[in-house]
Amino acid sequence: MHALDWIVLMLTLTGVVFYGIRKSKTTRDLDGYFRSNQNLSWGLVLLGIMGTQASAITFLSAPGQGFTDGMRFVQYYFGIPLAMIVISAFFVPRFRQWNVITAYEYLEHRFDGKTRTLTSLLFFLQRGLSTGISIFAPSLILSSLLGWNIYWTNLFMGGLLIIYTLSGGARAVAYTQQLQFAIILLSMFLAGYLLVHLMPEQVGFVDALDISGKLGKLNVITDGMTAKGFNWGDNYNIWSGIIGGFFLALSYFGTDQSQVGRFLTGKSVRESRLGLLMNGLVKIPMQFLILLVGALLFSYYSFERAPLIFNQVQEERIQRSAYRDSFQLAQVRYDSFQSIKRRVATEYVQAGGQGSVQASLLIPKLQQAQTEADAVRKQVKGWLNDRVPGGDGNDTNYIFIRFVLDHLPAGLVGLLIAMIFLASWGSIAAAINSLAACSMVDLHNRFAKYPAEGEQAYRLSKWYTLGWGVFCIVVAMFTYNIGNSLIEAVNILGSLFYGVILGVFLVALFIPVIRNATAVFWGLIIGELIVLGVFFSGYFFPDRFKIGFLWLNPIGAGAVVVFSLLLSVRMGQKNPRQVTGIDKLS
Amino acid sequence: MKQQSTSESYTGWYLALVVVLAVLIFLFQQFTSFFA
Repeated sequence: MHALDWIVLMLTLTGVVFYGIRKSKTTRDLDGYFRSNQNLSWGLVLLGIMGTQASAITFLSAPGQGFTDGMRFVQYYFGIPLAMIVISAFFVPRFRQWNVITAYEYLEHRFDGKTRTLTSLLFFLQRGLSTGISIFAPSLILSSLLGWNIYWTNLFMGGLLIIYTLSGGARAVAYTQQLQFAIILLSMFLAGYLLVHLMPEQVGFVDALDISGKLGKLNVITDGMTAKGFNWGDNYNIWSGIIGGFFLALSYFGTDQSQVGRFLTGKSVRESRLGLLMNGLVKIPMQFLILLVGALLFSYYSFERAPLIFNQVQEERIQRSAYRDSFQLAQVRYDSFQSIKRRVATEYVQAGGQGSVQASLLIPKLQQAQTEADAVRKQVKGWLNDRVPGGDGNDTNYIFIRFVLDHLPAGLVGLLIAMIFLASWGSIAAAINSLAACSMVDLHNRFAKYPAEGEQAYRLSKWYTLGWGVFCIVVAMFTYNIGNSLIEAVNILGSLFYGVILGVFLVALFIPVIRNATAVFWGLIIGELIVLGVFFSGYFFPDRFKIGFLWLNPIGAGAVVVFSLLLSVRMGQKNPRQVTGIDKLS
Repeated sequence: MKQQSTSESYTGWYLALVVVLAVLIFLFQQFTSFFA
């Protein structure tokens, strides 16, 4: 990396840390530390929600997805606006009415302590581990491409943010997320602009889109239908996006404390609601633009030489393996198909592109060259996945950053790397803050003989923040040793629990007739067993029973609702206190 | 316990979100077919 990149990187990161410390002033109690005294405007709530959801992998992976699979990934976000409406109309007023610090606190008002503790523990398990992964994943990418030591990278990725998260709690998290998001959007805009600018002179923006579209990358809307009917294993089509995505977004934004903790900082119900609703308005266009960068990147590499494998470490690994000669032959074939593609793409643009009859005659040739090049890439990735020791053929997350390092000017490279750190910090800081909130409110103060208050609770919360920060870094360090299996396991873990937790909240908010807390508790357990059954059926019999992970959310939520209802009818309405949790606003 | 007003109507907002989603899906559909 150039010296200028180091200067930009260091200045940006230290600037954000100092800004976070400066914005740390709150009252020294739980309300100040975890809810910023509920005094933030909707703009800060919005950026907090967006900054928490968008991790570094979002900005690395989405352009890579656009490059490899096309823009259909945007459909994954179609459920968000609908979920924002439901959360804004039903979740926010209930949480605010009960003046809760954590979402799970509400479940005790509505049901009982064991339901609250169980959902809170599921949150610890899922969020604690996945935060460790979200430190590790971008660290691995940067250390692979820049030759940095992975342990030090993990430490910087997960360590510096602890300084301001510890000092200012939710308020520092919100203000830094605002600054981080501005830097992230600026960096992405500059990268996208330069990408178009770096294309050959005769290739304009529309030409670039056209090439990308003809080669199947602008497939924004897909219906999931195949010759055999609807493909339930496909995660990214309009139906899984709207239905599965709705339940996932409802669960993530409405019941995951890392998000609930953001909108509870709003200075009124109105500010919390506006933050959420604005998120529903801007999220899809923003993701569309990030994916568009990937589609444009694909066009860029239709005119420039593209690496066969974007992760250099994996390329070196295969060069040192028994597949060295095969790889070199594959490279020659890949280069020849690319050179055909380059020539045909240039002819296509020169012939007038979209709408030109002469140009349209070239499309089959272009598609043929792309299919051949894809086949070579698939073969090499297969070797890396199955046969090269320590190999990993999935290079989707490396595509965008490799372009940045190879083709962008000094200074901007530093800014883009700072962007990766900042995107990570935004979501990790919110996660650590919310984990500390649950530890303090749902466990410590719930089970301690003498619950902490005021200054003492504030100081203890800082210790919990530090503890979770260290825990997540340790998980990141271990992930390096354990490898991809842990990342996959943690990703799966999230989709296994989200649906059932949502089911409990749906019962709490929408079915006042269910008053028996024990029925809901067992409904949750049975719902989880059903989700596990569906998941493992797909895992062990992928040919006969494959189902996309997005569908596990409605299945889990539906199972909890149905079984809670059945069990409450069977058990009767025993527990009178929970009625208060729903009736106030009815 | 803090009680907060929840009486303000957000129907216009909710409707706007549904309309924006429908318009975006329509535009994306057009975008997909135009460049296909």
